[in-house]
Amino acid sequence: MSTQNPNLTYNYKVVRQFAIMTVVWGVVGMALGVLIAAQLVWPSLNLDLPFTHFGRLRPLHTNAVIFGFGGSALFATSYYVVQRTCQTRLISDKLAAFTFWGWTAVIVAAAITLPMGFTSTKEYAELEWPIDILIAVVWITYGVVFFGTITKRSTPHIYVANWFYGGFILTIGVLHIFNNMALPVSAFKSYSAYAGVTDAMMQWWYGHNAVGFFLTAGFLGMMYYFVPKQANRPVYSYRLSIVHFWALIATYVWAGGHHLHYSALPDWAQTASMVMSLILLAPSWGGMINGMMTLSGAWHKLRTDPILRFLVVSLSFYGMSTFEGPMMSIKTVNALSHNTDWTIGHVHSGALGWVAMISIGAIYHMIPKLWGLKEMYSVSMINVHFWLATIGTVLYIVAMWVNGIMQGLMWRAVNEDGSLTYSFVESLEASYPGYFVRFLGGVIFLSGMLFMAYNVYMTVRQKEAVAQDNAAVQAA
Amino acid sequence: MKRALAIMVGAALILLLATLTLVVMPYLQMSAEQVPPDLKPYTEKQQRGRQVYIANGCVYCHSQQPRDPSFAPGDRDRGWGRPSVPGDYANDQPHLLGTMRTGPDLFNVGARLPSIDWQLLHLYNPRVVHKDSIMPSYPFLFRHVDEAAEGDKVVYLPEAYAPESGQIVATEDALALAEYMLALDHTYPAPTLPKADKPKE
Repeated sequence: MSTQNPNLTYNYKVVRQFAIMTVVWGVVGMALGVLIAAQLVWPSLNLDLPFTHFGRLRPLHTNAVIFGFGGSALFATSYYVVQRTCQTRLISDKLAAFTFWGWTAVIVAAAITLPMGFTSTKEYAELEWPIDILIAVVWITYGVVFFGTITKRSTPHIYVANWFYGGFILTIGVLHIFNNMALPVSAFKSYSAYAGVTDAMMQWWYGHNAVGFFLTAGFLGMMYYFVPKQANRPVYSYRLSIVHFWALIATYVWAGGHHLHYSALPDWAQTASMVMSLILLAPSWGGMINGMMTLSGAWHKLRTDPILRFLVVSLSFYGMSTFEGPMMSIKTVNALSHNTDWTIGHVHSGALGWVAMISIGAIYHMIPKLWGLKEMYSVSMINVHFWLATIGTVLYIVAMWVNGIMQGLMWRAVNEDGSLTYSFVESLEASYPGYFVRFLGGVIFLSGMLFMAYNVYMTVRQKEAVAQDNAAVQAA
Repeated sequence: MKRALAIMVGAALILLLATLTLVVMPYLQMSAEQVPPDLKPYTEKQQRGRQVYIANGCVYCHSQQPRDPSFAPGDRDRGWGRPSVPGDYANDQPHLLGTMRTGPDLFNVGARLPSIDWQLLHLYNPRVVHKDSIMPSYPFLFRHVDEAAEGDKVVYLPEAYAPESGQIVATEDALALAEYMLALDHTYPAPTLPKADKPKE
């Protein structure tokens, strides 16, 4: 019996490749984030060059962390989870390999074209049309591999993690194609097929669903596999997981309009988005509670297991930012928070606290298994990483809360005679300390990632480390 | 297979319903609204400037959507203009509404700061104008020449910021961008604006 028999082994090669790239893009993307945070404190760091100023590097930062780091983590974990929970090998090694090289090419292309100023200007979908087409092809292939693997499963059920991954893959495919409908005019220039406020609505419909499906549903899939696995406990409530799956996707798709409060978008559409955003709190917390309660009877493990700590703290940040989000969508709160640093803070409590931490935990869980080892090179280094990540995240979001609320209050402050109290520049000057603390938080978080990169490197170059490209099927 | 199909079809239907309600319906409503008769189409040069604005990511720090004064009095009182209406954006493809104000709103910057010399100076180095500005400088949109040729647009800098010799002149991109900034003037009346929200005279 050869280990090459595709019915009896898992394809771990593609998982391994994506896992490594998760760490690589994490370091690159977060380093860019630190740089642009520094540029807001010391403008001379824009270096007076077209390729290095804030306006060009900011989209590269978001693309590298969301699609490079987050995307690679989702590919790695979804391929890992779907094989193990379906007890079957991926339907096609070739197609899986294509998704790896294709996706990596997309991020490399982003790193080249965005600093050159090629952009569609749609936030979180800046890449120009040739890259968009590559993304679409890779994504459809991803769908074929994922759903194909599910159809040939040898288990009776589809484990709930796969529901979330499946919902995420399908929705992101549709969103990507519609949002990027554009008329190419040259090799790297296109014009949106939509105009004005419709274009804006389309973009935030995409933008918020990208948050809901790419950065939430996909990572909930991750949560539903790795939290029970690392805690060695069954999911708290399987029924709750199914209920909140449908509730979450049914609600998320309605919430995008809250990015356009008080804009020229029709008022009823803003209000509808606000109401749905508030309802969204329920399914979000359903997921958080389900994850947290999975630890019942295993709480003591938090004392010794830093990987579990990453996973649990990520759930706490998830709960916090999914409370903050609906609150910010209330129009009266939004009147204060909109256009301020509070939004940036909210994004990062989700991005650093939830998305990055759960991915980091999942990667630490997988790496030893992918190389046939018992554990990482250094467990205490994971612990150091955990504290750096937590402190970095807290500094970041507190700085942005303070800045955001202060900006909102300063912008609306009026004197007794009705004139404005502060000029715009005064609110900017008041934001300097917050920008500096944010930069500091970023540096701390990034240094944690460097510990991770070193730890992963040392783990896989150990003598006993053997890449398990075709691991034998075992119990999920 | 049946279950996988159920998840896929279910998710697709949910997405479709929300899209019809929140994208298609507002689209139909907004396309029925009048485009303000005083809205001028962009000239070729202004369009080029708009591309420079896009390519340099100005939208990440500058919004183009003043809010209703009853919610955000600062928007009107800073001279950013009346609340925008869908028709104001009829020529904007892609849109540049923006959602972040690291810098001020620019929807009416052409009315607020109508001097092209100011715009060029500020683009060359924002700190010449506001010493605490954190906006990047865009010297790469300008040329350093020994002596400006005829037809060159010279940027006059205070001594502390000027080069030791020669002059700074604007490139076509800088001029186009400045022209676009000056075209950002939506101070005309908006026929579709609800009466109660009209700026008080």
